[in-house]
Amino acid sequence: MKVLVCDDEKLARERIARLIVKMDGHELVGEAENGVDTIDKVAKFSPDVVLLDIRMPGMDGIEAAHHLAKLDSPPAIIFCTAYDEYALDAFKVKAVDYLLKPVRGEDLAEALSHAGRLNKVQLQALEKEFSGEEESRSRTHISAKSHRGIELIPVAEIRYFHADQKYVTARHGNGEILIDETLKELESEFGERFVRIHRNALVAIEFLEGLSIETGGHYKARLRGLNESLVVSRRHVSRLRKLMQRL
Amino acid sequence: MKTKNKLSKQVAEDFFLPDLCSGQPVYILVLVAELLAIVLVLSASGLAPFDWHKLALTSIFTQWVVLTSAGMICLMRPYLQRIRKSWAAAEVYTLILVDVLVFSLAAEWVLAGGPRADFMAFVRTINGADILRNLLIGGIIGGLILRYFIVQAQLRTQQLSELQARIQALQSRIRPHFLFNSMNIIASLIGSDPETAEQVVEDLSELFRASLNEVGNEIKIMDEITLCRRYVRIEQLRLGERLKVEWDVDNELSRVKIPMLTLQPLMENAIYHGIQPLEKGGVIKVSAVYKDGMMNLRVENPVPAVDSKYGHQGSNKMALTNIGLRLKALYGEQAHLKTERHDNNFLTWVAYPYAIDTEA
Repeated sequence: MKVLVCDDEKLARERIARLIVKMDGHELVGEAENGVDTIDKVAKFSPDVVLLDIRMPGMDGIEAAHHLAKLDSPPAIIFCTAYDEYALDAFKVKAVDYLLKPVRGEDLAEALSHAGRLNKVQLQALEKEFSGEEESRSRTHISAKSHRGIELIPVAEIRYFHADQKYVTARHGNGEILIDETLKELESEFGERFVRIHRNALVAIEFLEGLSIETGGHYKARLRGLNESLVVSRRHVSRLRKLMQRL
Repeated sequence: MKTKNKLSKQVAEDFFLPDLCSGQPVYILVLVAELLAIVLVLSASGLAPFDWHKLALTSIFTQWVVLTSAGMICLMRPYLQRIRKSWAAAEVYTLILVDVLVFSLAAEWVLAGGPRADFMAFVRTINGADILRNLLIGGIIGGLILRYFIVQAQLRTQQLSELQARIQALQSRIRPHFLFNSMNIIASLIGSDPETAEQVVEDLSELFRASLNEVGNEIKIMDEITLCRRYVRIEQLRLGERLKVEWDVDNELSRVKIPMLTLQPLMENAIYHGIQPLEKGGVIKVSAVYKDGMMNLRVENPVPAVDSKYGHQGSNKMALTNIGLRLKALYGEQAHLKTERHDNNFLTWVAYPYAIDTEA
């Protein structure tokens, strides 16, 4: 099996690499340093299994697994962790594959021999487990499936989310992508970064530039670096104005 | 060594009676006695007309009883501290009753004419009911006050031991994460770089030895800094280039001491909440300066713009609060721990008074 190892610590990667080299039937195809790197390397090497560290700076392992699950044939995932009192129970209950660091050779062989794909239920359980642990946890990236695999957009790059009938688009610096999430979910996850201006739009507070009144008394919000402006519904005007005064 | 183990001593020395050889508790007792006298007079003769004459007599009586009892308890204190608590309480109670009895008799004698009166005639006129009344009042009030002191002492002991337990918990707590990460480092290095692996084992042992040490132990500040350097060395193996530390340590610190594991948890916070969540890592700046009788420690580290996803803010805050409490317990109110956040920088200051001369 082709194995990709992902850990932010070089020594940890080296050790896994050493263990895998000694095994028959398994091949280390690549190493990744963080979540974003993992998604790149998965597209590049199409591994069968990803050994994924959970705690990493930037995008962590849980989020990387979330994005990877969007692939048509996602790799199997084995989480690696040094010590996670909270997560371990979730791993056990939901039969998620995991290894404890320092990883034992025979445990690794065992895990590789029947590593399975994460299903949605398992993923949600993990995400819930981790969100219970911190005061606020939100993804660093929004992802969408594209012809190239998974397209990742850093949340910090997103100007606004706009809902149109069934679809939600995320507008970013270089265009927009369609995502399969609802505004309500996005609002609850990224409520600190984005503000609701209309039933169909969430706007990045960071990029808000100004409010203008159109003919007919409609308010529109201008965003830095964008030509288009967005309709602000009446009931959100006063809150938005207060917010902008504080900025 | 004057402050060594001050906390544990405080718990051991704790005695349920306040020190009646000192001013403030005696003052409060006098006040309580006077209030009692007023209550007695009020209940006997009412407000209008208020019986000032009776108040004067009652006051003299209660003050005599209270002050002499206090004086005797003060003298007996060293002895009372040695015996069992329940015995001490019983003896103090008996002492109060005997004191009341003696002064009741003395008062009757004075009222009967004192030395000029015929002693046998005085004995015959002793009013048993009056003396019994005095004993009852003395017994009830004395019992209440004793009870109050005992409960208060229990509360104090409880608070102190809670504080101590928290300190203990803080000190013995080397993050499990750190232990397992270190083990992982050792496992990785054994094959590729056995010498460094050996060094990690040595450094790790030092850290554990320190964490198992007695609560509140003061060590030379340079030893604490060495310990921190060992700690950082292990974390640097794990985090690589991402972790850099700049030390700015005063050369004149050889005679200054610090409670063990005061600086190390601050370094740990800086790494876990600052450096580790940052993809590019950063520099931790540590300075230790002794100036005008105050020891100043300062740890500055970068932090992620949004709070770290895995930032255990709760436990973090508790660790800091505990260090602050421990410093205050050892060095008094002047000692403090402050934190400040400026955008992406986190600053922790620790300062405590330390007199070098007395420690020489």
